[in-house]
Amino acid sequence: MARTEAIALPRERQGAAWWRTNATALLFMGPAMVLVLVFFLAPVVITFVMSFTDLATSTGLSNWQWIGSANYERMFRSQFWFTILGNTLVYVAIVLAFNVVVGLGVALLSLHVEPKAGGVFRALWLLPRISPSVVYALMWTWAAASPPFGMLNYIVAPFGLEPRFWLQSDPWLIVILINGFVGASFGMLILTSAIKAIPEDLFRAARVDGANALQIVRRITLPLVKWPILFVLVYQTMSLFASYEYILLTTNGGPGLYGTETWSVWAFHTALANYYGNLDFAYGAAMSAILVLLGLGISIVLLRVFRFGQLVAEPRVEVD
Amino acid sequence: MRVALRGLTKKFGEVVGVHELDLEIRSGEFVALLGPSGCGKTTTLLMVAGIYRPTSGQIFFGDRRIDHLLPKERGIGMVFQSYALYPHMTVAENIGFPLELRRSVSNEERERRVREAAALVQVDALLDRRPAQLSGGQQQRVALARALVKRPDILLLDEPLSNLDARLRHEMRGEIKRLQKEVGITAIFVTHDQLEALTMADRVALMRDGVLQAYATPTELYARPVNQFVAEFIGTPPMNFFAADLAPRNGSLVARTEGIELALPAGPRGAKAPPTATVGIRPEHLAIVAPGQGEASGEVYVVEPMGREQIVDVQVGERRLRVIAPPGFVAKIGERVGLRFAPEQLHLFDPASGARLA
Ligand SMILES: Nc1ncnc2c1ncn2[C@@H]1O[C@H](COP(=O)(O)OP(=O)(O)OP(=O)(O)O)[C@@H](O)[C@H]1O
Ligand SMILES: [Mg+2]
Repeated sequence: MARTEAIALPRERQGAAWWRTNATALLFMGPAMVLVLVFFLAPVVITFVMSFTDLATSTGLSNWQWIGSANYERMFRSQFWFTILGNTLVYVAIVLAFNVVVGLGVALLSLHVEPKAGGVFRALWLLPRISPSVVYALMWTWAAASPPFGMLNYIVAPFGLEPRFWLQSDPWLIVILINGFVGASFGMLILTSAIKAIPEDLFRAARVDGANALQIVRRITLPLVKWPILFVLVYQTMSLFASYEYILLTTNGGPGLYGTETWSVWAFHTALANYYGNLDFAYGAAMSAILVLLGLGISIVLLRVFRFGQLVAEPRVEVD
Repeated sequence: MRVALRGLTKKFGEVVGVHELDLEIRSGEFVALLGPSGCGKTTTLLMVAGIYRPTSGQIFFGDRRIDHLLPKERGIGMVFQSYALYPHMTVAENIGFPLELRRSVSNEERERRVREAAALVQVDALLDRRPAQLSGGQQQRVALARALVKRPDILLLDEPLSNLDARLRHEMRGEIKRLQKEVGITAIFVTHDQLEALTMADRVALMRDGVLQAYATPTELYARPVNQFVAEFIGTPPMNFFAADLAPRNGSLVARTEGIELALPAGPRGAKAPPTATVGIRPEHLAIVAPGQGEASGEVYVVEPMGREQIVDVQVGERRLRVIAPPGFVAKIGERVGLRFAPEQLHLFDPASGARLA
């Protein structure tokens, strides 16, 4: 409507008409847009700009220079980038699967038991998320402590497993579990509410039609929470690529050289905590820039594969 | 299949949903569970379906007690108030779902029976659509087809027409009734609309607050309501009620109150007659006559033309009586009129308990 009007107007008045129709909308969106620019877009732009300089502790804030793509060349000449990329992909894939499968499992289980018990059960799963990251990570380092200590050693003892220093012997297991349990609570929250939003009559109808509990989950529940599952999948992929804090607090990328180092941990180590004391801000920024591109690329692929347009357009559950 | 409910009770914590319900449904009978919102109709139906476990009481299908069986073992088909079509399946998949879950039904047989059921309710042209692409009436038919496709012994319908517009409701009313007789299935349907119950059902079970009030044919319910609640609930516009003093005169009884004096033809006999009663008369059993004639006099309060007839409210003393008048009736508001009571159509109720006196 507004558009057809604008076309009919003489050229110099089009701008004025556009402002008249859209000024209110801009006014209302303004604050949110400023926030997005300052806190989301600006850091990305600064990261990219910085990645073409040699800014580091050694140059100080005033003596830096433009060095073109030297940081990127250095990164891909490094003998470790391939290992670290592999680490990252394995880490993201396994933790993602854990998040979604366990999150969905907990949501389903907790909704199939007595409501109060289900609520308590879900609350327990939220504990990792609501406890401070550092406390949660410390708990895991203690649980995985070297023998004769460590709760894990006590848990596995009855199964005849030798006590061991888990962070050394099975670092990936610990990294996956610590991130997996936190992430699972996210999937659980989203999927619990999605399942609860399915009208009760659909389940009753399915029972009358002759479906057992497993058939109801497979044929009714899962297809109806397809979109929330995809949302969890996409969202968790993004946050896992960028996550580093639990790895940092437990294995710190070890054991050995880059044993569990992921791309974001690598960037952190380079830019903010490297062994030589020279904090290579610009080099780290280049690594982060790659991470941004990787995340962007993967989200585009995921949204293509899952057809985001439909996700937004298709009505989720018809109630009547 | 005969259905019998014995002392069926359902409590939700402190709340009593259904209390000691006894009901016998003959094989092939179409029974309506009728009552105001929250009276326990859906709860009853869900217990018969096996979705709710009764707190106490028994359910029999034929001679077999079935209240411990799972829904799928009961041989029932059910249409839900929301239709509960699976939104992610096509019409054909929806109708075929109950058969798909049965190993014994082959793919060819399933397809054949889906087409059959769809044709029965005239949705065979819509088999590839999703529920979201159907009108309310079409969704309703699909839900019916899904309930019937497995050839159940008993069909349960929860407010099957409440989501339809007035015209479609009328159409489906007739259609469901015809279908039920055609298939010859025992059916229970829930409704809060007395007209629906009266027009469709062979017998109507009227409930209030979880307690069965009356169980009778539509004609009996209308002609001889067993208590004041039944009298009030059945019939549109609703029955008029007023309190009156009863006094004997010439061996019969006279009911008297301000502006009204009625000789009761077959009143409660002799000594048992209480001093007062609630008198009920339906609007269609009152006639407007010239002032001074009839058993009551009052003035016209409002006239509502309805096409085929008119509803006239007449102020008689303190109370207002509703009368159905022929379309030709003309009156000004405030005009004085007389009212004639059809003598055989009076209902007397105990003022305290509401039970029928005569
Ligand atoms: N799951 C439940 N938990 C607690 N109370 C319930 C539950 N289901 C029904 N009730 C209560 O039981 C009573 C009967 O409910 P029911 O749903 O059977 O009414 P209804 O006759 O179907 O009413 P409507 O015409 O509104 O559908 C109501 O008082 C209701 O609040
Ligand atoms: Mg109901």
